[in-house]
Amino acid sequence: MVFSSISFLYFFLPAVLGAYDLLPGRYRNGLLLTASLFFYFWGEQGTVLVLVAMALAGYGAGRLLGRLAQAEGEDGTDGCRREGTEGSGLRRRVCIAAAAANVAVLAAFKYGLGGLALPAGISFFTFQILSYVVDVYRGDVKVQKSAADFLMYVSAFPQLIAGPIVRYKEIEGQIGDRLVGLGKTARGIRIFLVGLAKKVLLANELAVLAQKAGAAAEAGTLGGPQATVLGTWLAAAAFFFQIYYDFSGYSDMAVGLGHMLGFDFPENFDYPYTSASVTEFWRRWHKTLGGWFRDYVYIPLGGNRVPRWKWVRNVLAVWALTGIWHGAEWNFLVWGLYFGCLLILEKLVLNRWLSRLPRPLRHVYTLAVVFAGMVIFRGGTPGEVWEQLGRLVGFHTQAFGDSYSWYYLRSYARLLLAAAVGATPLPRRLWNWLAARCKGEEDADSGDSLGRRTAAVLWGLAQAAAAAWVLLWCTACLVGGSFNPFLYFRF
Amino acid sequence: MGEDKKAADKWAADKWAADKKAADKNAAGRSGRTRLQDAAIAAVFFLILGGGMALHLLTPDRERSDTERRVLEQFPQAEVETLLSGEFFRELESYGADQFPARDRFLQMRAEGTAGWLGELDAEGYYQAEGHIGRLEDAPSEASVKRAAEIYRQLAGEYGSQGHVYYTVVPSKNRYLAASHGYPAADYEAADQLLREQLEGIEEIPIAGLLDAEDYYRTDLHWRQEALVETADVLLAGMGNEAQASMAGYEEKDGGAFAGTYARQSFLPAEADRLYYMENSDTREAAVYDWETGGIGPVYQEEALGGRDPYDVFLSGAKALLTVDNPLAAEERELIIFRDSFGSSLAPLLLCGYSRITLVDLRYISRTALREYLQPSENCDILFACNDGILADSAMIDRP
Repeated sequence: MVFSSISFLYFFLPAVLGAYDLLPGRYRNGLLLTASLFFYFWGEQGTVLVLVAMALAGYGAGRLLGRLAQAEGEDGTDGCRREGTEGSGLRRRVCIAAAAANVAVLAAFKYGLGGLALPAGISFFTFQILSYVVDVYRGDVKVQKSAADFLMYVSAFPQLIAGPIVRYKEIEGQIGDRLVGLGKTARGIRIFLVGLAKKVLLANELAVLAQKAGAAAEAGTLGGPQATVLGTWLAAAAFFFQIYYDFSGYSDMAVGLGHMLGFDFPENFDYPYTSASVTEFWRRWHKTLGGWFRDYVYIPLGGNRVPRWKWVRNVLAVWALTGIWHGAEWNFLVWGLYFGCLLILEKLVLNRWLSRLPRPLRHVYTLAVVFAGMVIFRGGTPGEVWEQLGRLVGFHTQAFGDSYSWYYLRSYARLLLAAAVGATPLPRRLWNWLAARCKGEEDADSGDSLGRRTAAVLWGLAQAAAAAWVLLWCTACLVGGSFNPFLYFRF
Repeated sequence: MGEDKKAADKWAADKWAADKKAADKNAAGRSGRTRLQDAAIAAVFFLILGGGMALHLLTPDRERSDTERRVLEQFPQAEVETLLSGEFFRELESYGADQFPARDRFLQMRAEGTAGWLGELDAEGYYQAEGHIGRLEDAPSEASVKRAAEIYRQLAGEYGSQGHVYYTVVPSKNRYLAASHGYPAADYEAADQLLREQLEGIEEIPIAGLLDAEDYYRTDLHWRQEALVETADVLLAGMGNEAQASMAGYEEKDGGAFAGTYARQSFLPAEADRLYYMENSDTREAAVYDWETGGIGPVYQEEALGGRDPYDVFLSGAKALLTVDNPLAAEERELIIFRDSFGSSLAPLLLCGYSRITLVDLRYISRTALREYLQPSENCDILFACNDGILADSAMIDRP
């Protein structure tokens, strides 16, 4: 089941949220666990057992680490070690064994060992379990004593399929005690609707353009689309925005749903296409994955407090892993290493040059290299990717454009413009400005005036109307069975 | 801790602090009015989702969609096997979308919005030009055209030894609308030329030059029968038949308002057409034998005018094999048309020149099965008349 589907929006979600609000707090974890397992079973059926088994194994590893810590006397109460000490060799071995087992299961499914089907979201929930085990070992979190609560954390449907990667320590306190109020629910609804609009109204339409503009007719077609410079640019640009809106839209929906259920999930994207360097881009793109690799791979390898060659090795190792985390295909590895090399280059050489450039030029540089990176990410055979990259600058084609590519440009210009503007903070600033104006700085001085009250009411109505419009418009797109792929489901 | 982590942490900490400040400010500023705004958005959200669910559950399910011309998904049977294979849930997803309340209204909203605020020039491949709704078509491949030609040649060899064999290409509306309005279009001339080369020895009767967009329904893919009289004359003359449709005393009969399949499927706004059919003594007296059902009926199936697709008035719509006998024919002369749905409205206009017309739709009958039924008389004319869409996807008629 995907969030952007009729079955989720009109059956699963209202049923779950309705029951969730009606039930006393102590039953909510149980309801969320049941709903989440059903949600996963809906799409994955038997592989729900993989999820449950991995979660229980992670839970067991945590309990074991806790008991060992208690036995070692490092912590007499809750199995949590004091920060900064990493404990005995036995606990270290348990932690490594648990981590290795998780990675092995992930690799077995992800890289097709034994022809196993890939369970949706396995890359995400494996990393959540891994971070929990390592954090217990490090003493950063308390051991979760309830298997059901731990299973609920791993399987919580908002973040189960495509992240964000919610670390246990980020919501540890909320598992047992969380508040669901009107303000938080409304905030969650707003974020969810923004994500839904990103996904259905932008990403799905962009996916159509990426597919159409990238399709060249086979030889021998009488008047079909040709491989042109313009068509290649359109397809690449459409994918460039599609992947952002697809993934960030899904993340927004997850965060919004989290709020509706009382959780505070970390945000995953922060206008990455406005970055002025690749380093900044990766602080803004898929933040939870970048943070995970930083804290669980890069820093343990020594980070940058090592000789330069080791630092280069560390960076390349992290980015090779980031690449293959996405899949076994060659392009993901190349994509990861491409960004690894760019980060090294920036650190060693480019930052000095970039800092002297006007900011717009730094944006152009960042957009250009990220754009090329997304062409690699999109994939195909090495020859096809090379050809596409070449065609962007006029190689491998006879024509700049044909009737098809010009048509697509005219037809999708407004969509591309909306996608470009939406990838900047401008819409959010406009929204905040309007909100501030309508709120009327009410607490600033003499209290409510009639004008301010009217403005506030109008703003409330505008928000409600916008919410209705997004929901109904997305419904209109979904009932027609529009093209509705989720790029990050395969990761 | 490395410099990278320090820098990243500082960046994250600054951002967190800024966010928190904004959140605190927001929280501090929360007043009754803010709560009212929150309540409004929550009410709308849950009202639409809950209301949608309730209506979905309460509204009776429909069996088929007349607008989309397809059967709608019904609530699936839950069995252990289908549950474990996921088939049940996939069908349930389709069911949820197919049976959604006011589905047609939502589809219309999408079509209007796609063309409106999104500014896309086509909605799922449908576009508007000159008051018509057109549909973008895939360009034909050489292989597809050659396959169609091969099928024509094979049939000509099999049934054409006794008489004369002709072909014509029924032009799609797209020929007259797409390129001239900036829409991508197939290279129809190249396709015509290729077919010509492949069908050497079979006489071509070109008709594309006789028609334009106005000769088609605004809301449908088909041509208007009342606009085909000149085309029928050219075809009759091309086949050496002295009869003329323009002299056959046809009168236009008003079949009422007609919203064609393009209008229904695209949900684009367009003025409804009127459907006329051309009647004369030949069409009134002719009897249509349906080889599938064994039934005999009229040339114009008037009950279809009030039905799902009024275009079915012409020879009862999609039929594999029909024979039309014209007792008033001036001479005993037979014609076999290998045709598609365009042939249904064309054939009655050719009836003035023939005592018997057999219509074969190769999409619905295999060439092997056809041998059992088709026994042309001497001096039988054979006409291949498929439209551009069939030539672009000739696999449809390739049923050995």
